[in-house]
Amino acid sequence: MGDSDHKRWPDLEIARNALASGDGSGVKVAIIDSGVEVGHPALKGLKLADDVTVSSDGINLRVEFGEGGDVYGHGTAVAGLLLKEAPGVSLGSFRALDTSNHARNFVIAECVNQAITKGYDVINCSFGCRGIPRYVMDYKEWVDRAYLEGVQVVAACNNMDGGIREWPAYFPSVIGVGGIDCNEGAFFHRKGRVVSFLARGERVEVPWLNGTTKLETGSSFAVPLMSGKIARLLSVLPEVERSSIKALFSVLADPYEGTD
Amino acid sequence: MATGEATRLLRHSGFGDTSLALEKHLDAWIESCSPEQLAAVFDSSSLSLLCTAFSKAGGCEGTIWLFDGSSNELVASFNSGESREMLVGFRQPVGQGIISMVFSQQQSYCENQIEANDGHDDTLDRKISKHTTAMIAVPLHFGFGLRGVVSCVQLEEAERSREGFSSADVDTLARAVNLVERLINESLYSAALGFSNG
Repeated sequence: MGDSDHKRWPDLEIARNALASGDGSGVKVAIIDSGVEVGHPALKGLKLADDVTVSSDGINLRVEFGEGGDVYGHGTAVAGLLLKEAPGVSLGSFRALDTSNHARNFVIAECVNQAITKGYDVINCSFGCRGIPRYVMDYKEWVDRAYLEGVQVVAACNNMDGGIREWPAYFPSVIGVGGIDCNEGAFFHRKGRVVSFLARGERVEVPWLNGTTKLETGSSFAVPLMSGKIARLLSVLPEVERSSIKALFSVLADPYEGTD
Repeated sequence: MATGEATRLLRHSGFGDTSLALEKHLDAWIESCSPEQLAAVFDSSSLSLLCTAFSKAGGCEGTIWLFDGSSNELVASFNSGESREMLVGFRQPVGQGIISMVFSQQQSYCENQIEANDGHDDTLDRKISKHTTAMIAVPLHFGFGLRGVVSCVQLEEAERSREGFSSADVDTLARAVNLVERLINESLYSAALGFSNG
């Protein structure tokens, strides 16, 4: 293999070193969530690469730029975890969770399409939707676009029960993440599962609304840890073949020995 | 023959073509129901199962919140606690509070520092003169859609088996909610197809 091939298809030693030494610099991660409170002390003067709010009145989509703010605190928590994992990463906030629940799937799709168009490398989805057949295409269209354009989607999954599907975590090109009680920094791979990655999701310290900090539990908080790890790898190995990221991380992770 | 294999064969036996019609029919029916009417889909078995899960998860009480699309609110439709008469019927606008966040994110959530959470709407606490210290909230799906949230709380004023919740407690409630979803779906599908399950 030539040198460029080694960068596209790194061996495990190179990938491990990249994961250990990278800080996410030069990598863009889109947070599809409730917005980000940029003035939060834990975010240390964060400047968002993009601050987009998408909403819907049930018929029309509205896209606004530079609105700022967080509706619930959840997006700020995700941003804090991402920055802790990959301090050099460039974050964009795409607020999909407004105060209504109209046309949720279309709002999310528009957020992701905006992020892909703006050149983001990783899409962080700390949310899910029950895997009901009628919602498949709402998610499949943008998940496929992300895959084809080399953008890695990382998504949360509620349950440890493999029989209950959730979109987008259950699409094979997506890195589906569950939250478990484990050491900070650890991450695991469960062979034979669609949602195959696990990271710390219990008693995670996160920034929240109005400058506060809290301990939270949920798969939502395991997702930015995985997104951050991907950003770290990509900051050292930007040429890595994007379709290989999921496979690469499945061997970089420790095998999961626990039971469901 | 494994259950999954059996249901796959059943799905491909030809009757599945009616699923879209069933879905549309149920969706229209559910949307036409008020949360008060819809609460009737929780039979005594379902409520008993949920109450057991509230207790097993370490909670003092729990609430079923059903979505009212006409007002964009979540309505407390069942509560297992002693203030149930004051609590049932309480309307929480979507966009406020932890319950709404779970409805929007569709991810189970556990909060052990409620008093420190600026996202927590304490209107309900003030109404019943109690203080919620910890909460688990799990999205509730039935009839082919997201219909609400089930929450389980610890209260400062009530006895509890332990302080705070863990992810194992979240799993306990999530599995119980999933079983209840299946019970409700079975009732809804049977009723819509003209079968009675007694």
